[in-house]
Amino acid sequence: MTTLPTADRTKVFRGIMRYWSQERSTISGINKSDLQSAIDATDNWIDQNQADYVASLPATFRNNSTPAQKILLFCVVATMRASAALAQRLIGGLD
Amino acid sequence: MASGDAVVQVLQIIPPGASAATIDTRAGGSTPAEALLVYDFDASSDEYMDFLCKLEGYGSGGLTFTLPWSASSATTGQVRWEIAIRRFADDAEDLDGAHTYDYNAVSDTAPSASGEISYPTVTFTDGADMDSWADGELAIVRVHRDFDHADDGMTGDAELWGLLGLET
Repeated sequence: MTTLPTADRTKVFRGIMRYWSQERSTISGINKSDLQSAIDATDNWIDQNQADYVASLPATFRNNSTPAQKILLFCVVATMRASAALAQRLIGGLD
Repeated sequence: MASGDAVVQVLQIIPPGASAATIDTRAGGSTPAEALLVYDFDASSDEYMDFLCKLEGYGSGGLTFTLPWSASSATTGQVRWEIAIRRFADDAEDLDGAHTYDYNAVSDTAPSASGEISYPTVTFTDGADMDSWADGELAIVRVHRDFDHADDGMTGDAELWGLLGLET
């Protein structure tokens, strides 16, 4: 795995600002440059720690799931911590 | 007319053919809730809104525009607002031709709560600075958020509530 191309990081930068604007989720004390740095740091952290994540998975799941499935599992669990509604939009159903 | 008089009449608010600010509604907290029409200017792309205006009772002074705005989500950082004027003189300015908008600008800090409003001003001196706009004439007053200006650090949308214009 490598880090995202700059263009994809920019898509995240634009998209998350639009999402927070639509949600009117208060963003305090953070400028655009701070947000861009945080996106870069997050992507770098994922790149540097993805092997540890995979190693932490139970062997049966680790050995039988695709890379895309591992990433989706990570995203859904992380998203659930932020917003159940958003997690539901990712996978279509939560009950 | 004298200084401070509202000589700029807004006749129409017109999204330009491309890169227009998004027309949005911001709900208030009352019952029933206010549904305020706002124009969302993006934080990561150039966006514009045009105001067709008439100068009425103008006495050859300068103009001061006020841009009432709120932030969709941010409570810190600045927005770089720009305004320019395209005058339509009688039998002279052809809308079909291109016009180079010459912007005057202000950098304004977001209000401390996202539902609160700020009133920055942009000034023009009489003459070429305001495209020699004269009393009784129409003009397009174009508003732009210069998202990549060094001062524009505010995350998220800037919601423009309208445009006010006084003689100064």
